[in-house]
Amino acid sequence: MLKNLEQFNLGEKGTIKTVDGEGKIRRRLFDMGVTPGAEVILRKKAPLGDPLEVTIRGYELTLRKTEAAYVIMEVENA
Amino acid sequence: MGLFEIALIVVCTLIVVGVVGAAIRRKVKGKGSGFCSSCYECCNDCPFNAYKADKKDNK
Amino acid sequence: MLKFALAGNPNSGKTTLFNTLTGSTTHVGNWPGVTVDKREGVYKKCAKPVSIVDLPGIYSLSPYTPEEVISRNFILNEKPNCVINIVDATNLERNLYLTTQLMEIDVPVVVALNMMDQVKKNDEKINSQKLEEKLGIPVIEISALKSKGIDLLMKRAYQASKSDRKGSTIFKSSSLGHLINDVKIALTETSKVSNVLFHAIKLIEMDPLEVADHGDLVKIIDKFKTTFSDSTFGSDFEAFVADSRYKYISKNFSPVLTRPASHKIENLTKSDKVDRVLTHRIWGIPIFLVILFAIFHLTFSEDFLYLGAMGVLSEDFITLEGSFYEGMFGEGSIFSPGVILFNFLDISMTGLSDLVASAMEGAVADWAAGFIVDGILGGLFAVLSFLPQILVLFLFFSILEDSGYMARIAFILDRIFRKFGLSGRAFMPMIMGFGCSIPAMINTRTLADDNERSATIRVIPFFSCGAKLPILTAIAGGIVMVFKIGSAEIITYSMYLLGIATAIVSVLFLRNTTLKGEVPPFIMELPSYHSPQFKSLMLHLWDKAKHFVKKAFTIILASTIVIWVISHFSWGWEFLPNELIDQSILAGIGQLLRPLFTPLGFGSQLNSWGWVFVVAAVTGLIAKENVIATFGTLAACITAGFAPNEALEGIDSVVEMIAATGITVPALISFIAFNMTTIPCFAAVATAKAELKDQKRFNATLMFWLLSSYIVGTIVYVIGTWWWSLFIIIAITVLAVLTIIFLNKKEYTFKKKKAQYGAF
Repeated sequence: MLKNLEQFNLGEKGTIKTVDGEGKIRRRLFDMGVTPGAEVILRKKAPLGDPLEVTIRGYELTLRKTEAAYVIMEVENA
Repeated sequence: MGLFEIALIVVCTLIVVGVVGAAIRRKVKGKGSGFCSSCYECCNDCPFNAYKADKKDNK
Repeated sequence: MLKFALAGNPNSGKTTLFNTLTGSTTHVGNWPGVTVDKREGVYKKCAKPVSIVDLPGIYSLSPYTPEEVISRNFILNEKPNCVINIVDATNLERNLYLTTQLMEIDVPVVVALNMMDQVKKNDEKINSQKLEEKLGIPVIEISALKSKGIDLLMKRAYQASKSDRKGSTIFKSSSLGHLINDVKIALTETSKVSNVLFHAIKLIEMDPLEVADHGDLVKIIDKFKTTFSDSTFGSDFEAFVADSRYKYISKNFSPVLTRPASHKIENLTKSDKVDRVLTHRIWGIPIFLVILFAIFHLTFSEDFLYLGAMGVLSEDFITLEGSFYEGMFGEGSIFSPGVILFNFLDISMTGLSDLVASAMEGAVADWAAGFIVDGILGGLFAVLSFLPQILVLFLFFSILEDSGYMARIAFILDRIFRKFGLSGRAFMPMIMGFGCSIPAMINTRTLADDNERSATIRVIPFFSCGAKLPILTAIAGGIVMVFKIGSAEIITYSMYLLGIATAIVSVLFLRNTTLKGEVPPFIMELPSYHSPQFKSLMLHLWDKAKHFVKKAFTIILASTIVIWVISHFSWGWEFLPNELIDQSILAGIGQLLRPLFTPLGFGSQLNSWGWVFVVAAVTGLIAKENVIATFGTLAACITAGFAPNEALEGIDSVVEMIAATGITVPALISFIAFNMTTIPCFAAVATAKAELKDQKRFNATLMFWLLSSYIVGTIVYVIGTWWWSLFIIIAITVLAVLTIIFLNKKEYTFKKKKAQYGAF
């Protein structure tokens, strides 16, 4: 099942399917390892729900909801 | 005026001249404000490389 | 001399390695972006000395941030003999992403696999031998922190530098292999670039810098695109290349890392456990504010833990009554560590100057005695006694920074910062401003957007630096002593807050008027928590102390000498005794400028000694510590006109000035506010000029500082003296805000209409 990363709940896990967006932000996401096939788990949300902290490729990455919205995830059906 | 007073004037003049001179020297070398001697270490990223200039001068 | 470059991800331990290799004490913080320019040093243990260059931390060689451009250009243009690529072993995949790009350049590369001790702690294993085989370049295990493996690393780097390595790419046998070759050939034919392989691949990735340089070759790539289509990316080569790198790394390099069977991505690391508390969704911000308050309490409080206010202590608890150090530890309350240390120095130095004064009595000419005791000692000691508090504050902020907590705060505050038009990343330079504005301004280089950078640089001085601390403390102390209101700690804390408030208002104003812009992305690594290293903390403190003392005995000393001289000579170069100080050159200058400061409360309304405040503020342009040094020098002269020669330090000199000029509390606060927000010291001004690059923008910045300090000072004084004026000021502010919003709306609809009609 496909789900947008910014809609993840705390502790939810998935694999990246595609990365939308364009230009600087997309390039930056790629450089940080946010590419199809990577396993991601939502670690934490900041106060007020934004930005998000995820664990990916063995390290902690933060990104805003608007940036996470570009990441389409594949999650296991419950 | 006694010896002490004369020595005092000389030393103080030297101090002032020294500090101002160092500042001017840095300005002439194109290295910014010249008062940067206050922050050598924090300015290892110093855009004027003022600290490097001083290190070289001290050799 | 051979030149080696250190390249790697932020937080991979590059700067620690650099310090170990070159023996320097460069600052190492634990959040991304501490190194913002290249640093050079010398490694002396090879057969010949080697110059080591520490490049800024980068995640890739694409040119989207200044650090990437700096590192990339350095390696391409300045041709180091070897690139030492620091790879954080606990973060292998992301680090190797950069490695594959570095290897495409025609330069010898060796991999320093750092943080191996951490790998062991995590019960993980890395087969570095296998990694070396697969990469095709030397891989050496090191622990920069524990200085392990360094000699071997340098030996192999030295050996590698002798070879004439050509770039290699993981794409050699991939579907892009042919295209890369074609572009390579075209490049060699049309231009004389070196590093052909690197440029070819970057061109295929549609790298902006490459396309700008070799636009004509884009045709070849476009032609290839028509025949090439990937299932996920189509012909979006930028995405395809980046993705392919990671896929290759995952498949070929990641297997060298073996994790314990129990490992799952969901497992919480130690860092995560600490995070659950410190960055808690609800409690995160309150905890931060409490920590901040605790820091100020430990530094400035005169009633530690509020024991005195609680009535728990007896009147003369540890007052050391009757002793030389009476009143050092407390008076009806216990003083905080910062204040105790301050008192220790204060009392000791007063004692010292009294000693000197009596030793010189009669033996030395009166003017000379006055010069030394009032001028030199008065000025110097006024400033030096604040050294302990500056160090204590610095120590705490260093701990916050080194432990990694600062990055977490940026994360928490990002959403709030965005409402003001800044990203959370702007938080770090601002906090650095509490130490010194200069490295803070330099650190704004991590902010990618120009307008955001300029706005941040402009408000950094509002985060009162260490040099302004004497002004705050001395005047706050003076207010408490003379007017018996408030506590020094609360006044000081509120003044810091006032600075922050001014910064917030300014940012709002700037980002909606002259420095508008998009908020840049906030995709950032959160490094693990890290207990700060005692040794490096102590080294930093020692450095800071050294500089402060050096600054005191050079710039401030020279300034106090000059001030004493022009305050003891009239315009006709006649020597004046202390009582006639108001006929001096300095007084003349002060009297001239005085009326300008009337709206702020320290201008014409003060009696005849009021010019001292104006003069003190002006001397602050050289170094902010001078403001109190000037008080120290001049106050002693003024009161010496009425009383015997006595050196007056910090708070005492302020007390004397209050008595001599009849200045009110609101005016004093206004004076603090003015000094805190006005043009910073020359060194900071020069830094701002260098960082802003644009002359017009720099001039606007100077005007901005002058105007905002004048406005803030006036508002503080006016509201303080006539409390009802608060409403008038609020009304004016609301009007201004509405005007800005209205103007912005008009501009927006104008642009929209233009776009509509422009389409025809």
